[in-house]
Amino acid sequence: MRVFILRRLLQVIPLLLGISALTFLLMQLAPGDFLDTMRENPGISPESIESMKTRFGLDRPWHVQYALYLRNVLLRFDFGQSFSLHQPVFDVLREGMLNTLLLAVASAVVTWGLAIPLGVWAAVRQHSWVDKVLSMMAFAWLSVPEVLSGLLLLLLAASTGLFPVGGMRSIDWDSMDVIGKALNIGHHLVLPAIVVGMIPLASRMRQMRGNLLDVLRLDYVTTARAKGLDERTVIFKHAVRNAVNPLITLFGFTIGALLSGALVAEIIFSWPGLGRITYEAVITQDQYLVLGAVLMASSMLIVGNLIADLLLAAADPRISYD
Amino acid sequence: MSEPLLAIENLQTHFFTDDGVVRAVDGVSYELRAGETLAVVGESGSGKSVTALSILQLVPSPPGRIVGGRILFKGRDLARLSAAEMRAIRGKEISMIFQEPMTSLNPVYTCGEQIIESLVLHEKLPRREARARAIEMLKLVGISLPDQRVDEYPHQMSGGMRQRVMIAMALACRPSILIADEPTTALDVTIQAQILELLNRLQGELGMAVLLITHDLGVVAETADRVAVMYAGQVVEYCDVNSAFKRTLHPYTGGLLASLPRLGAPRETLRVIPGNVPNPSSFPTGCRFHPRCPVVEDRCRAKEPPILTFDGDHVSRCWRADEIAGGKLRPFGEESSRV
Amino acid sequence: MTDVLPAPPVEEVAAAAPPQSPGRIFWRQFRKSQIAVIGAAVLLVLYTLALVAPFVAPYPQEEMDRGNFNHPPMALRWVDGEGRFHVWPFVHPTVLENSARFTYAENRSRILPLRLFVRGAPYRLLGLIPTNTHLFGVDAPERINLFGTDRQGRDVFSRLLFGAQVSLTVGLVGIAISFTLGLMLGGISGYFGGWVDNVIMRTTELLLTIPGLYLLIALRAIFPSDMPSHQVYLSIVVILAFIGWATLARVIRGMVLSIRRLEYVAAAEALGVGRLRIIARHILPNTMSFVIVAATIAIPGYILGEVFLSFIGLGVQEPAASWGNMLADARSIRVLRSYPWMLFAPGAAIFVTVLSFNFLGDGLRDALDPRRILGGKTS
Repeated sequence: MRVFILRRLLQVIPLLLGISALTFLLMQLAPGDFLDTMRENPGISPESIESMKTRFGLDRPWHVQYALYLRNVLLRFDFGQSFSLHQPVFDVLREGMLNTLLLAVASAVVTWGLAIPLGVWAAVRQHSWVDKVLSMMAFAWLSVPEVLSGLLLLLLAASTGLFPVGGMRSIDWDSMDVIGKALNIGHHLVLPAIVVGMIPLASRMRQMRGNLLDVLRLDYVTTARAKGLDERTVIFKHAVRNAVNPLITLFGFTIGALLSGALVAEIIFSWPGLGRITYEAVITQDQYLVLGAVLMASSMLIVGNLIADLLLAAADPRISYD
Repeated sequence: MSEPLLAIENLQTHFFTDDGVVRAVDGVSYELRAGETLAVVGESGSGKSVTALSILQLVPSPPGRIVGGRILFKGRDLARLSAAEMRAIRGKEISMIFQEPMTSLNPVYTCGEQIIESLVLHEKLPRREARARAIEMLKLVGISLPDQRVDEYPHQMSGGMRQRVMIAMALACRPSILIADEPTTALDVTIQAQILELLNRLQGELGMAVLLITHDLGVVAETADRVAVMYAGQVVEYCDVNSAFKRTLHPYTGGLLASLPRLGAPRETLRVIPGNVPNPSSFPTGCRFHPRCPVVEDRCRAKEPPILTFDGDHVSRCWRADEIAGGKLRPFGEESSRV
Repeated sequence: MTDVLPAPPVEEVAAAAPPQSPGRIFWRQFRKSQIAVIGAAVLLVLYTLALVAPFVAPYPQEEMDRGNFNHPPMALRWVDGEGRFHVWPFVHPTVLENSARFTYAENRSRILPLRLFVRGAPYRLLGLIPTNTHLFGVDAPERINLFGTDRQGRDVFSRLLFGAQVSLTVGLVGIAISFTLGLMLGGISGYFGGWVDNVIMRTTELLLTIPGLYLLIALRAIFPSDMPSHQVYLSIVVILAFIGWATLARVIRGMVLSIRRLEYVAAAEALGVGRLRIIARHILPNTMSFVIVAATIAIPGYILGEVFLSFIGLGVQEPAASWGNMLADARSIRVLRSYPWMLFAPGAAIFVTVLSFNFLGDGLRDALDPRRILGGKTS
């Protein structure tokens, strides 16, 4: 198992190299650079712009820039400097990544915490009104993109005042105690988490229902009943336990969508996560920040996939990586 | 004659589907005595499995339902018990094993866990004791290295071993009846023999009755004391195993016997029963076998044959059973008598 | 000993129905799924509206009415302020009450009857026929704003229709490109194997490891931010297609690998049929049912990609309309609270479109389920 993990991590290295090269190329292809805004400012002299250019290495040929970049990353873990924020890229990203992670986990709670019970409920009450209503709702949720649900929830927050309309912390956050701080962040997290988690929730719920219906037809469920177990045990201990496994497999494939959804929510709710940083970096053409952000997002996806595979091995004894 | 342990009286189990009513079990009666093995024989679609499932109220209940008859076990009618009462009987007084060992065990729990579950449920054993008993059961069914196997998962075992685990699980609480629904059909021939021998031995050691459902007459010959032959949802012949093979009183049974290839006989084409098993949503009028029967008469087409009893305990559902009994009729020729 | 009669069964053998082609079976199954048919019908209506948008829209998308900023939707009425019933619907003209907060009041004493086939701004129907007839309108100089106006006084209803032209077609064009790419590269990859397979698969892996929207905005950065509208449109399509082919290529490759081993492919090879021809004529057609379903399910993703890009300002630019940049107008909280129709109009359009595609996709998937085609039981 350890060998498996190690092997996977090693395979990742050429992938990340490729991604960094691709992103670097894209940033090079982008017309102009971040100094453009400064050029339009008459208050900044052309000489200072030139000196900034040299300082940031923007006058070197692209392959030299890339080589220098790689060397810095691999040897000194230095991802370069953010031009627009005047900070090392790594510092900016680190916080952003943690915030996105927080959002992702919160949305996962929304998704999985509701999808499994609702899916089970719909399956055991197949064809009843509960099942039909849940099916319709799931279909509707699936069709509301994050952009829409984000704006709708924003409207809700603004009109009812029940939730903050953006950001991660209230203004007076620093003066709160530890519990207060945590609750405050949680309060800000609710709406973005719902936005990110809603579409996967609808999807997983339908799948859970379908999987459970399939599993309930299998032989070992009849065996469990023939042993005299009560229906609740048959459904939860025997059937659901098997029906979730395909969902765990699916989890790995949906991490990309999760991160993308988080990006939308971060922009709408001004949540200071990796997505919002990337967006602003692209707009300001902050080259190294974009590079670092894309690499970081990809790494999160890779690690997420690895975790999903490990989860699956833990859940299904038929799967072994040795 | 001792009291039967299990008596099925005129059982009717129907399925109510969108395409109509399927009368899968339509008037089935047979009995099981303590220590005896009753083999229920028939082709697919005869209703033999549904009858067995009805005993434990395991028929899938939105489409299926027991609509008539009684299933008497120790003085109670199993068809009328509540779900809770049924659960106390399943796995404890009457156990069932199924055909496909590959899919009948839950893949995510160890074999030991699945046996322990039964013991904890019915005998309220603490886990440590239950585990010890599980290992004992595994040994009883002939699994080597039981203390290792108890922690293995089904996918790590062969088909024959899984079937042994199923048997161990079914017998863990010492039921008085074991229902075995085609337990060897999915296994290789050599393993089949081992499993049958195991069942025989366990029956002797544990003194239980076995209801063996099968379509394989060879299995019947080896293990059964009595035989019930089913066709199209009804029992067409019910007698002891010797009579079934040597003095069959129903053309269908005769046909089944005649279609068995015989070693040492002069080369001949295989005899088959012409036609197909009828569609359970639309049975023929009169005797359900009449479209395929070589000795069919007009009354067979018109009315369902009565249930006739010969020699005290040989039941046949054929209009011409007495002619066959008197030796005047051999529906499928010489071969319908097997020695 | 009586004779043994091997009588054949008397029961009639059901006359075998003539075998149905997969096409007919598909069509029958498809029609059985009510929601799929509804989805298809709605989409047909939407795309038709988009096709004749300049005709159905009373006003051009960029036309501003400076006296009319942030006007709420006008209600069609049949009963006027004095309780009289009119057969023909009408709207009341409005006056500006509060110019700071843009509130309007209906002037119930006047009615503006709805007119059909009015003369309005000139345009080219289907890009070809010059005309200036619009489906409906009111007598000039009054205006009818069924869905209200935006902060520049532009009619939301009209912009919605013109936006449909962009948002709805992006999906179709994008899918066409990326699916062609995906089919070709997936087919080649699966059939030839070797280093070709390796290169193509590594590339897809690369593309799939970067989360979708991240890649989308990074790619958008390549293109200059000020481009003429149709170039922006084209660049968005290209970007979406560039990201989209990867998943399909991988799946097609898998299917090709398994089909390749089937015997009729070996037969074709033995006959010396050229390899590309084998891929095109023997292997790929068998992947068609899957591809159709996958395409239908993927189109909403492309539409939403364009919507998102336009929403964050990297897509279709003003004054051209797209559902995305109409949503962008609703991004501020003040606008959301005071002028919610700016969210609901494009929002409803997007929702209905995606929902219809989902209905259609579900129905197609069930209809093309091989178990139904072969006539087996589905459960």
